[in-house]
Amino acid sequence: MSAWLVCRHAAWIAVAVFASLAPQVQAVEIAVAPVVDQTGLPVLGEQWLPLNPYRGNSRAIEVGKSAFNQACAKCHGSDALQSVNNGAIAPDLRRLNRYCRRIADEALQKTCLTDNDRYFVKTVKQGKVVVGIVHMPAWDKVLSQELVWAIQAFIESQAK
Amino acid sequence: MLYGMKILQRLFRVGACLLVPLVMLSNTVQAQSDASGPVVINGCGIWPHAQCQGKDLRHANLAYRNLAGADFTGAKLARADFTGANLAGAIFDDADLTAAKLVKATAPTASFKRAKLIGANLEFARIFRADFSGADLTAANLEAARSNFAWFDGARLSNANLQETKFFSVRLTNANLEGAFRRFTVFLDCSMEGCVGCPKEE
Repeated sequence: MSAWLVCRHAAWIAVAVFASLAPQVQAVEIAVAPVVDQTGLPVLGEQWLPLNPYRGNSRAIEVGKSAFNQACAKCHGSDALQSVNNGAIAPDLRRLNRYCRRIADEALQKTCLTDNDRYFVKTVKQGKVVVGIVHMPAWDKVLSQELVWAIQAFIESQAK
Repeated sequence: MLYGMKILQRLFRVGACLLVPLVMLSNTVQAQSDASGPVVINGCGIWPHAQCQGKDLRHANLAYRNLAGADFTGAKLARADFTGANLAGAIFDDADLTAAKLVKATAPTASFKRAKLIGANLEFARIFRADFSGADLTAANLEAARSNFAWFDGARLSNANLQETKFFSVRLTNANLEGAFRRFTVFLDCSMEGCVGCPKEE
């Protein structure tokens, strides 16, 4: 065996040893509370409401935009424009209530939106863990009810 | 005589060529009309993100419906028809899906933890990264189902039809596959610790 071959084998063995010694690190997103001025936003308290009370509220949309860009934009795209931001890895949230928006019957649409709001709140509070992989951290106790609804109001204002 | 036979054969061939697309088109139209418009069954809205925990939807026709992200935790869904339905991210934890039809259903990342799927039909279902931990799939049909990265921890698959089922990087820890039909089943990079009836390396 030539010296060059010996060196090559030794190099590969060294790489394998280093790889086996390296700690197994999994990147986990951490929920960090955004710093937002909530002046002018009606206080809702601890009891979670079944339906978003801020829907269409311009101040809530403003607050929601700031909170979204601090807490959610990293994965869902800045200003919730997931499809515009090529780097966004998480789903386009503007489509969340698309089915409900198309329902003509007002009462039925409200029922659909209530379901959609419950889904949104549950997902934000619990996060997304699929077969052991954390796709989204839990935001329970990190985001207040006011901020969660404000973020949703902002997302809906961006809907296509 | 031979010439006449040839003409008859050609006529049949042309007829078949026209008939097949017509049948396919009528099936598509049927599927679209079934899936159009919002419906509420027993207090459960049939739409994406539906909140149908504990609802009674036995025998319901939910074929080709978009139920992505819907929550059916603890629901009664025996013999419900989810053929071709979009069940991405839907939750069926502790639900009763006995003899339910999930043929060609698209259910990636769906959760079926501890669900009862006895005799359910999941033929050709797409169940990538779905969680069947603790589920009972006794005598269920998973023929050609694609279950990449799915979890079947402690699941019961005894007497199930696993013909051509794709188990790619699947967790079958403590699962029970006793008596399952395993013709052309693919087990690739699976975790099989404590599994009963899983293939053994020779």
